[in-house]
Amino acid sequence: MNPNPDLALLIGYLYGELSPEEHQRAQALLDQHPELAAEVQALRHTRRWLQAADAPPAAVAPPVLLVPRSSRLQRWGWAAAACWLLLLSGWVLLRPAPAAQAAAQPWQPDTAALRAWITAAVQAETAPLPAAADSLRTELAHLAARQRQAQAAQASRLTAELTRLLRQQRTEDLDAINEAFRRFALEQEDARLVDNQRFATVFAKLQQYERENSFAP
Amino acid sequence: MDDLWIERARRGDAAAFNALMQHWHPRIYRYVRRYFARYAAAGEDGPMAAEVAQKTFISAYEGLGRLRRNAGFRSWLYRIAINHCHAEERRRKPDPLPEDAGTFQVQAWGAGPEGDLTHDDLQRWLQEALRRIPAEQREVVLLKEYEHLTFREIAEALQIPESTAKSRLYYGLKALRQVLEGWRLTPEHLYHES
Repeated sequence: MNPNPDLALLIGYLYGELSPEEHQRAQALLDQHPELAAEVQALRHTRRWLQAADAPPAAVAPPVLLVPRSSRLQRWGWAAAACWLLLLSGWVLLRPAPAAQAAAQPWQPDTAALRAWITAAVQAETAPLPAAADSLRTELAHLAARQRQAQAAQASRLTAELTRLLRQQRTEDLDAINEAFRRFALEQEDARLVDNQRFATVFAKLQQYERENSFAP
Repeated sequence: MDDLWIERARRGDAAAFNALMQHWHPRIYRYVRRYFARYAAAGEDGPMAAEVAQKTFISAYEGLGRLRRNAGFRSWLYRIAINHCHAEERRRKPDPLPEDAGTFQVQAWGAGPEGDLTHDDLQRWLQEALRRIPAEQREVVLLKEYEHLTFREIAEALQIPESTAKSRLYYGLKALRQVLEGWRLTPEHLYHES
């Protein structure tokens, strides 16, 4: 469409979007042509209809927020996620195990003690069979309880550290937050793998002990 | 402020994009709702507007990296919304208009030139009048009168020359006036009502 240049000028005049020179030209045009002035006046009335009869629709809140609205909320969101992880970890680690007894003393995470215990358990082969097996199971339960407590403490420490880190972060540092979470997850995974190896060793010893002594589990 | 948010959002700052969405969603929603005003009688305009507005911002989020200049954000956002409006319309059945619908409704609403018009009356008549003008003219009228876009922005949003935007607006206003005059509605009704 190639509109009449006067038409574009009139519309620009109607909406006040003309340069001073164009405005002057439009005004002169309207002065010279009353029919054009009447046309502009009619368009003004129509515009008035559009404004007077309109009822602006009520706005609605944005239905989807892709992320929390502010960095503050974002930090709280991450902190909530960390707490959730902590609770989940706690539930996994501290859930009741058969015959488990809580150990009062804090766990010392040195493998030397574990090795000594395993050595003692193996040496217990010379003891009466039921007593040796019971002792082995009891010790295993103690070990499990201590490890759960230690893991919960570790998770708590990591979560506190992560929360502190998150509170220091600004919105621009999302990568750092993600990296912190990745480290947190890796540490948890490492701890779980180490414990799995320990338990596997102890259980292997127990099974070997029971097999060699024909002890019915 | 928009410039700052846009720049940060383009760099992947989701919080900045949220700020943009908080600022622009109400306007996009209102535009789309006006665009679909003819579905108001069926109560469908609100849900349609909410859905199209949501799609608009999802598309904007996905495409913000391709925005070439911050200053064009407003027309770019409206262009996305308009495209989604068109897609929604294509998805729906055509909206045929009976020849005598206008006369019938004007009589049904009970207001002649001598009658008293409430604001609701005026609104219904205006919506019906807008419905009767060509869609491409209606788009420009809505963008100019209610969204206050410049002609350049309208041209960018609709991807048409600026002169065409002005032309469509002129003929759209003229067509509206003819519809209203056909119903014997004059400016005096407005002055009487207000």
